[in-house]
Amino acid sequence: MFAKVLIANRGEIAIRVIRACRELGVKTVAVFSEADRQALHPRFADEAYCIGPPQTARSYLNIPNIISAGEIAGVDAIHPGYGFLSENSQFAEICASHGFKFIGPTPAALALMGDKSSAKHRMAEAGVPVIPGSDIIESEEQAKRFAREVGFPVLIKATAGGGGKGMRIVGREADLAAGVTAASGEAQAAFSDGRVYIEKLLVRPRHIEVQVLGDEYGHVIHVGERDCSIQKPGHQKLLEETPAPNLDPSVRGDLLASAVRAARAVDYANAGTLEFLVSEDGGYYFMEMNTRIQVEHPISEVVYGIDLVKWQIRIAAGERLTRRQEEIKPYGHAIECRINAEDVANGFRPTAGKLGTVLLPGGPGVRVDSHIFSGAEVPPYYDSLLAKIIVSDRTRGNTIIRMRRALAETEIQGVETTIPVHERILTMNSFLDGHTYVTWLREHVLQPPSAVGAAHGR
Amino acid sequence: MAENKKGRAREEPTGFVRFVRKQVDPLSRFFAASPLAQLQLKTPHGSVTLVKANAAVDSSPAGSGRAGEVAGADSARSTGDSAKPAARYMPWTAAQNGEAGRSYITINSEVVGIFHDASQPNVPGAALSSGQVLGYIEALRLRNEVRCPIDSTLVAQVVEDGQPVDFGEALFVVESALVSPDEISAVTSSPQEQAPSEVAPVEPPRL
Repeated sequence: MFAKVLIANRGEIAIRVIRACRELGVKTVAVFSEADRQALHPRFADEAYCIGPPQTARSYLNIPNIISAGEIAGVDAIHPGYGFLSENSQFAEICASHGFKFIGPTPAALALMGDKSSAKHRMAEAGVPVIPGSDIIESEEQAKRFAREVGFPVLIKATAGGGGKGMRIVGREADLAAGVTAASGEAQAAFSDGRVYIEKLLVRPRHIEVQVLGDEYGHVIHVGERDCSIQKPGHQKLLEETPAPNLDPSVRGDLLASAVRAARAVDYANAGTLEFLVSEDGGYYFMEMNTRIQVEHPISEVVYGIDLVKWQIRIAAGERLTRRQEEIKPYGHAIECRINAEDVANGFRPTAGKLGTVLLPGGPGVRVDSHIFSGAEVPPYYDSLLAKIIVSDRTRGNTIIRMRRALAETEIQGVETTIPVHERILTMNSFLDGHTYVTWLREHVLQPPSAVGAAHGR
Repeated sequence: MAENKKGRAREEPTGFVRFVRKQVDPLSRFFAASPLAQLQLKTPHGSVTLVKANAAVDSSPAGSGRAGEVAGADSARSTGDSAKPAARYMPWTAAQNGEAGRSYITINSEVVGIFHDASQPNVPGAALSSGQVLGYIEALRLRNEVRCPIDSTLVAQVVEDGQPVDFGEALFVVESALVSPDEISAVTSSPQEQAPSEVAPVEPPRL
């Protein structure tokens, strides 16, 4: 096991990784920007180094300063969290060349799966159904040709992307060029890679993803599926649950088996997630693979009784994954609500500032993964996630009741939050019946077809 | 405090160096964000009076022990607009010298690495010229030069040879003729001497 690990991240995921290290007896090193001097993660860690000014590019993406901090602190390994450098194969290689174990998959797996377009080709070769998609777009002509072939609407996606950035929906050919330019610009800013490709857009599909975990000896298991259909207009997830409600057991079985097959086909090690779109007729299509721990990992941990982050660290330290697939069974149900510092009434505009009183929920079946505290600063430079409230119970119905209770206890003063929209979702009949899909939030909660009667939760 | 959590054990520095490193730099940030116009800090190792550039200078002699001594932190609690960050290089008008129109400037690290002395030792009171190399920070086997931003006199070297430093850590305090905050930021934002970020951007397609 490692003696010391550097966490190249911030916020709630840095806290999560520090907690896992603590339980494994591993010393922790935090890195922070000047905007995070008073944040929780440098406080929690055993050592902390300031690595730059508030801007992400000069701090949390500042590879030289991060590696240098690792050298000074004498760490054995680096955990990249999610976002930032977590899917950057160059960073993984630089870690290796400085003698630090990168806690995640190999640089080759990162490069392969990180390029969304080549990942799809690889999956198709492995016999996993994929959404019809183009190669990297290099001309307007190519874009038009592909879109005409698969039919509109189409979705433009960044090949280096994730988190909903660098994506645009285009409903007709006249808007295609502008959509490609816009998506590409956003991708260049967010990932330093502006390459995009086009996919056929499925209508009202569900987003169902599968958690996989593999060790460095070839043993790969799945840890169940997650339903992440409730997404903000920018394709960013807002609420996630497991098991996926109303999912045909044979479709579920196929999805899980496909995911394990896909992970084995690329010799995948460490934690990862395969995202699928499931259409109304039960057809499922591989979308992309996230080669990192994900924001919504806690719901799988809670329902399947497995600590994914501790396993990430153990696997990276060379231990064998001792859990067998037959042991992986869901117990009960779990829902996660992402509480973001966002103004829902104004397009989920991020808000920043100093928090006043912060009261986080507790009690049976409630887990909170968060870095905020009363009086904490919410800087404007980073993502807006404040807290993840994860609730579990034996049945989905009870879990929903418990989440309503937990949200009612939660108080975060000083910024706008997404609590009101979660409270609304938990009253909607289509959610209670388990009939959501990726544009459901926009169509039924944010812009209901008719204003009259909308207040009664359709 | 996060600034002090470094793993390496090191020799205890002199009292005055400790005072400058531990008290003056964090104090200046707090002072800048507070509504106070003047703050005097006295310790056995030395005293500093901080006065905001636009405020009237207290004409009583230094050492009179008035004007917002920091004994009780509550009395000096900031009520200012915390959304505005304090300027990093905040010039102070020092009453200590008995001369009006002087500034103290802290030179901070821009990289994470190990500090090394320059070949010539830096002696407090020595005259420094703009561009003079005061020391080096070794990071990833590259040497980053720490240069003096302005013609000045050395007040103190805050770090020691072999000491690990991180971003924003105070390295030197120099004293010069009075300069405005804008002049300081222009002079002290030196070009990055560290290796550029190793993620090469890819050109987006042009349509």
